[in-house]
Amino acid sequence: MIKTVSHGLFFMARKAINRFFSMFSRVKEKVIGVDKRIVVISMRKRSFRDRRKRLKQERIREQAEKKLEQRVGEVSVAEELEVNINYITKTLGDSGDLITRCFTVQATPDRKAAVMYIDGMADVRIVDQFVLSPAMTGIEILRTKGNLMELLQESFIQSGEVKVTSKMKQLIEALLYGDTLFFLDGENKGIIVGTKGWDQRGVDEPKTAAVIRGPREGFTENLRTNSALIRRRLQDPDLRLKSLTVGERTKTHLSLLYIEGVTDQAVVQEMEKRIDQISIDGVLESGYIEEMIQDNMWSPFPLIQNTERPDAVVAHLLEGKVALLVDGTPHVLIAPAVFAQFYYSPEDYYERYLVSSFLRFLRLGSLVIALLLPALYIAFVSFHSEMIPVKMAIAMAAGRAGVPFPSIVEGLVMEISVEVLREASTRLPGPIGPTIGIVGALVIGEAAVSAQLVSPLMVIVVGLTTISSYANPNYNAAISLRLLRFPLMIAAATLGLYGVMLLLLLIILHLVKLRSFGVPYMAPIAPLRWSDLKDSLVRVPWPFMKKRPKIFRPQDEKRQQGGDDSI
Amino acid sequence: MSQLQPEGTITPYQGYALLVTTVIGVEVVVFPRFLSREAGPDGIWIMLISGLITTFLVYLMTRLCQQFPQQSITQFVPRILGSKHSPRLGRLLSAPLMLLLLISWLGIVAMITRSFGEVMVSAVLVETPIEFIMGTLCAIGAIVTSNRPEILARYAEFLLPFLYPPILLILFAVIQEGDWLNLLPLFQVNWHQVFKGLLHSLATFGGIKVILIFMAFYQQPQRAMHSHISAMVIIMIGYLGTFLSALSIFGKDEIVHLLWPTLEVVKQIRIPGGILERVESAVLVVWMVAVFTSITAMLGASVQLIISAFRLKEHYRKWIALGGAAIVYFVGILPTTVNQLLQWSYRFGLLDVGIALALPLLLFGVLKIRGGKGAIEQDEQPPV
Repeated sequence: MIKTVSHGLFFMARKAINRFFSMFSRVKEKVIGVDKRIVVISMRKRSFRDRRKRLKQERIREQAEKKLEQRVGEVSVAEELEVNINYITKTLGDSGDLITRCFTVQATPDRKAAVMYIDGMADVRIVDQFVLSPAMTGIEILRTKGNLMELLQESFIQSGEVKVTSKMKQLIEALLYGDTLFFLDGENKGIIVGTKGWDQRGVDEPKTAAVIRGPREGFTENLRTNSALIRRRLQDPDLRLKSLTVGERTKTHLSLLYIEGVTDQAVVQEMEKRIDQISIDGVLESGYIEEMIQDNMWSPFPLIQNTERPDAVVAHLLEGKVALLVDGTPHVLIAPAVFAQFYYSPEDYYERYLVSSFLRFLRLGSLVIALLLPALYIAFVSFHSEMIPVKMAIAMAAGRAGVPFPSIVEGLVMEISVEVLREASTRLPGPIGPTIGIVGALVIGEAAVSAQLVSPLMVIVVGLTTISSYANPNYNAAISLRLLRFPLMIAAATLGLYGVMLLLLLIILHLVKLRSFGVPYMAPIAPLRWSDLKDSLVRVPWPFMKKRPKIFRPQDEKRQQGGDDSI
Repeated sequence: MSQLQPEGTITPYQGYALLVTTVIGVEVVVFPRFLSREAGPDGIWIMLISGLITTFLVYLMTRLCQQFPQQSITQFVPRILGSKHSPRLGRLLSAPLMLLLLISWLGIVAMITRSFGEVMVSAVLVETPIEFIMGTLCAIGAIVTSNRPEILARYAEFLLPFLYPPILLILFAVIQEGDWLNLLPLFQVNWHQVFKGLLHSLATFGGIKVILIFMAFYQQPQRAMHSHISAMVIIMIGYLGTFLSALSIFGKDEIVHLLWPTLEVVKQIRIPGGILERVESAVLVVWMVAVFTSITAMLGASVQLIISAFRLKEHYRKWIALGGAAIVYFVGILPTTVNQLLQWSYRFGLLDVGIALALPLLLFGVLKIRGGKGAIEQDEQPPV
């Protein structure tokens, strides 16, 4: 529904713009003083011109791409060292951080060699100790005769990751990814030495989705560290890791992880297909990918989960989902996702079942409060005051007596100021953040009430709502509910409980319609699956969850021995 | 190459949810008055009998649809009535039947919408014009019914659990205020009263024939019988509970003076702990869910009927839904008084149950006379 509306809006906007421009051209024609028929002809001409312009633009783009291809694509390594160095230096535009070290190979003094790497991207110690040092001094003791290039590659460059290629494009891509290039005069090949090693943040406790019991490791910005964190927890030969690259300029590396034999292959294929279709210049965070591959662009609800916790990723992989690691961000995407899983914490599975079931009920309660409490307050105060107990109603009336605004204004002002406070304290540097909280609490809580701008109960309602919206392990799910709160408040102010209910029915329709990679978003509640309800609001003890959840269509259903029987 | 999970068909549990949410609707708040006026405490067993009758009708319709799995009513009725040589004859003969179905559904939905508006205006939103309430309800109904039947089924499935809590509340009211003596004396009615009571209680079961439409989308039509019969049992329990509580609290003489007896029952509830002073607004909200699901199921069935009858493309669905909702709105504002409205809804309910009785009997009769000729094609259907 949102989709159709926004489509409609988009269409209307486009139409309006078109009309605007056509009006313009018509005016021009009128000024010149030609009759209507010519206007029509000129309009037709205009569309023709548009088409020509478009074609021209396309041609230019194609040529640019071709040029780029020509610049690096087909070029192969030359035999002369100087040519290669010059070519790479020119391609990178004399970049200041490109280090080129030329030296003479002592075994054959007439042959020069060069090492090229980008300062800060490559690990200088590895380059010095295991590439430069053996090549410069080790070769002196060389007695055997043979192909120097092969010898170098086989015995002297002491690195695990070595690749010989004659394609300039590959060489430059490797250089930009932190590898070191080795050229030898007289050889039309270059050696790529794996020396990636830039400064990075260490494995740290994740800032989001904190747990009391459970591993403290979180992902980092490095793709390989992240995949290693997962591999260490999941030493399964069936774990598949597909490498992909997205972003025409950033060349961001992605890793698609899944367990073969557990994950539904259709989801993997669909994921690859959708990633293939992305054509964007840069990907800086997994959020780019998330928005481009999710099923419904217009939904306020997140359709793909993200997490910073390797243990959570492993748990999802074991349930038959797919994880997507993006280089440069600690947030890993998990798909398909259902609504309920945004309210689960990894800790639910580490803590005993009673505790975690209780916590899940608590989260459901906080969800309802975060979504509905302000709307219900407004509806009760403006329409259904008979529902409030008499004594409380009197107290409330006393509190509201001096307030000059209707409850909806009061509510919106308070909610928006709390949102502003929240945003301010998120963006401010650490030590100042809490200060904002105190100032906000004082100003909004105390002063606003004593100045009779808002009623004391409204402050309680807003406070409860804000706290409840944080009692949710996933930030992006919480924020979508916080957004929906405002239309609900407006509905409550216009139609009372009836309005709230109407809007809720629409939201439920939207939720029921949503799908994430083929999985209905409200599963396992609608469509109902009894066996999957064991891990929903109540988490039953582990011995009873012998099978993986069916909603994700795992190929191998068994999770524990004895999973054949129907419990 | 494997495929992503498709949109899916209607599961047996969804069939159950659809039937329950469709039948339980606006009538819940009114019917104790009529039943008590016609039959007094004997309404208890009259209700039971009419429940059994409708269960039998549901059984008939389910059997009928089971003979034509994955076929909608617009496909198999012409096949039964017409012959192979002239398919047009079958379609011509089935046209009035389809029209009758359509009229009864749209009529019921219109009456539901109006009654809902009346209750809302009289109980909660006193100053809001009824046209506005009906308009918003129709608009939202159109949005919901512009979706495929599978989604409507999932919608009903999701909303069904919200209908259960009021049963507890009503039980609560009975414990607090009820008097068992009000249920007596039984068996004081004559045949005329029994008949009229039966008609009134039968009319409350309007909507059962949506299964004629939705069964075309069932995953396993063979398993539909179980879910439909259990749905009817649940509905019967719900209705009986409502009637018993209203009767035990007010007695047969007082009940006839109450406009919305069930609402009055709820008003009797005092929640211990004093969190809420009165719960009728909250119950009205839940009741709204019940009403809304009835509207969406029947409007959705009408939309699907039109779509499959004229073999329209999918993108026409939203316009048909919109048109249907508009008809519902304008028929809904026609009755001038609440009394007239209740008369009309009674007649539409009876028409609905009447069709539900006549249609399967007629079709089964034709099938029998023609020696199962119409159903021959079912062998071509792949086994499900």
